[in-house]
Amino acid sequence: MRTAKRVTLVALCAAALTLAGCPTVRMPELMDASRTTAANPGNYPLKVHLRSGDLLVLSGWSDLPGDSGLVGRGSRYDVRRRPIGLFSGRIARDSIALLEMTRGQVAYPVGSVVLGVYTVLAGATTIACLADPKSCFGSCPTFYLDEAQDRPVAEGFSGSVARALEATDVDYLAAARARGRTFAITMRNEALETHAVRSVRLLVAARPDGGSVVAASDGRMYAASEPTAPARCESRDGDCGALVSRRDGHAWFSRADSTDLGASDSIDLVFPALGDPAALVVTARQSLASTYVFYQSLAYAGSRAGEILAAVERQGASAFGGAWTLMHRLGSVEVLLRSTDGTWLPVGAFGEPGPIAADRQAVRLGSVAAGPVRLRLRFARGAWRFDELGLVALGSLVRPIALDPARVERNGVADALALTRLRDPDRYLVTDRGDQYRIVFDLPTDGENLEFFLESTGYYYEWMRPEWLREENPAMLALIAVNPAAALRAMAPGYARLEPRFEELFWASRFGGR
Amino acid sequence: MRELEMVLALAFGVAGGLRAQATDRQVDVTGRAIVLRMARGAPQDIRGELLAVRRDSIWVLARGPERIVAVRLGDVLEATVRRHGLTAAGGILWGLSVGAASGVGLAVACSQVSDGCGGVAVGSTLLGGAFGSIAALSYQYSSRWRFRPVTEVKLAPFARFPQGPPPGGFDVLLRPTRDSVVVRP
Repeated sequence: MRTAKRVTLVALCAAALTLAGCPTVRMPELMDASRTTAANPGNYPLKVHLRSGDLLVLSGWSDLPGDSGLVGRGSRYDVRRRPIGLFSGRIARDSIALLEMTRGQVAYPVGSVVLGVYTVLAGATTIACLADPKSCFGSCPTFYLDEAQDRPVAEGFSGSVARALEATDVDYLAAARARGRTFAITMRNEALETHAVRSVRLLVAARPDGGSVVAASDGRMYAASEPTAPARCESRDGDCGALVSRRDGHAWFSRADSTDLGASDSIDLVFPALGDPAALVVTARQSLASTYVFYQSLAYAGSRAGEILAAVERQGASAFGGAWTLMHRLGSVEVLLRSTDGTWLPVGAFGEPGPIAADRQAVRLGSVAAGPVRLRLRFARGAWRFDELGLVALGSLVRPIALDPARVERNGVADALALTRLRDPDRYLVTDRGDQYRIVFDLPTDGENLEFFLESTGYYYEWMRPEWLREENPAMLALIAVNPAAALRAMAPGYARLEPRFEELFWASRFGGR
Repeated sequence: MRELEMVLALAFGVAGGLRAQATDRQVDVTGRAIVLRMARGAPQDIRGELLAVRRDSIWVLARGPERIVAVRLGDVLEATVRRHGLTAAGGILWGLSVGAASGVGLAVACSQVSDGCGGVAVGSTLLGGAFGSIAALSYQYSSRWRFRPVTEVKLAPFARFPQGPPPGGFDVLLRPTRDSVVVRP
């Protein structure tokens, strides 16, 4: 909705600029000397062509009684059109050869529309990027399907910002469809980062009849029924049912609290009874709040960022525990089940690092009493975008087949070295910004009845940027370390200023071969 | 919103300048710029200020050297008269200017987070040039009226002397320079 508003605003802006920049075309119209001059409309002077060849340009005029001529004032020009002085007085009708009036008509050339739109877009992008260059850059490896090169379907190990934090990330590829026995996905480095990718594997499982395979937050996969939409969905802003009833890219989200990024928000859901065992399937991605907090923390660290990351390498996340507390506060969704006595019991959590691609995970509900299932999602306000919330009946445990890459292509040419590195668990494929690899997998059966998950393992390093050094702030760094909640409050106003346009800037500024 | 206000202020400021350039507030006291495309193997187009059209003749004040060219109306295949001031060259210049200005801004922003941002400015300028070229195609056609066949009624309103040649003829219009050439019909 906000994107639509901004698009409308830019379009209006461009339209207004186009209209403002369109030229007025002067259309001369000749009148016989005997015609009355009262017919001359508009704001243009009246031109009186005299029989001598001279010209009078009158700013004010009127007809003389008896049609004997005109009286007016203005300027006089000779045949060479040199001004020969001001004129004020009578003009006999028989000395006039022709009268010329001018009509103004605004022209709307297509070129002005093109230049108007281009100027507004170029200006808006430039000013926005100049105002906040940091917001123009994203993070982590992104993955694209061949048939959808404009939107990533998964992002790998977004939380692994140091070697010590290397992790394996599994993403459900909801939009993936394969015909035949091969499947391809393109991995890109679109940010100012160095990515170390240990492995990229495709997990495949047969799609159960009338359902799908879901990855649960406990790391296992289950056969599941098709999701049942909530009968009721209540948020602080009202009914959210329409936006979360199916996975369609139209997500429910809230604005962050401008005084506290850690402020709590919740959604209450009511589902019809489904029986045990059941799970809540959540399809969601983070907003850019966590990205902002992460980058801002690096900026506050400034010249000490390298020292802190080195400490993280040696000691793990505990070396800078406050930062991880911030990220955890923003990066998890707590799921609570209402018990028969009316209390809310935590049953699990949903978490998917990164704001780029939505992931789907199932949160098992444990034992559910008879009757409607009432759930509450608790999360940081403005930190999440929920695309689908559904209840599924869980079936048997599924053991997917893990496939290593069969081929790797770079710029359309087979890259044996990259293939070797992605298949060797002891080595990394290191990528720089702008790099992209098309990874091809051979499927064990025809792909039409398979479900696909992408498993990526690795870590990455952010490149320190000069403007972050300018924001070095030891006091804020200390606050993050000792009082993460207070740090989230301190960072809230800065994010609130950026939030309305953060998404579009982020998507408009990624590096890569698109 | 502050950035949007800046964009709007910039855009309307520039648009105002563009419009002012394209729209003369003062009424022309001379004739409109005209290009005559001649039929029957004439060596080249005739360009200049439209002085007068009368029955079967048309007079143009051509430059370099300044001279008055008179031709038979029937020999003119097509006449184009200036309609507004947004020209093809102006469109390209506009696109290049916006692209270059944007490119410099983006390069400055880019240089704060990365090395080797020179290509940003060049790329943006080329992009602006591409948009300018699209606009130029449009302006090429919209900036002129085309008359074919050419008649006195159609062209006279755009002439310096819509009533026809002045009583003393056109010689008085020529500056007394040594290289002036008068071409009479």
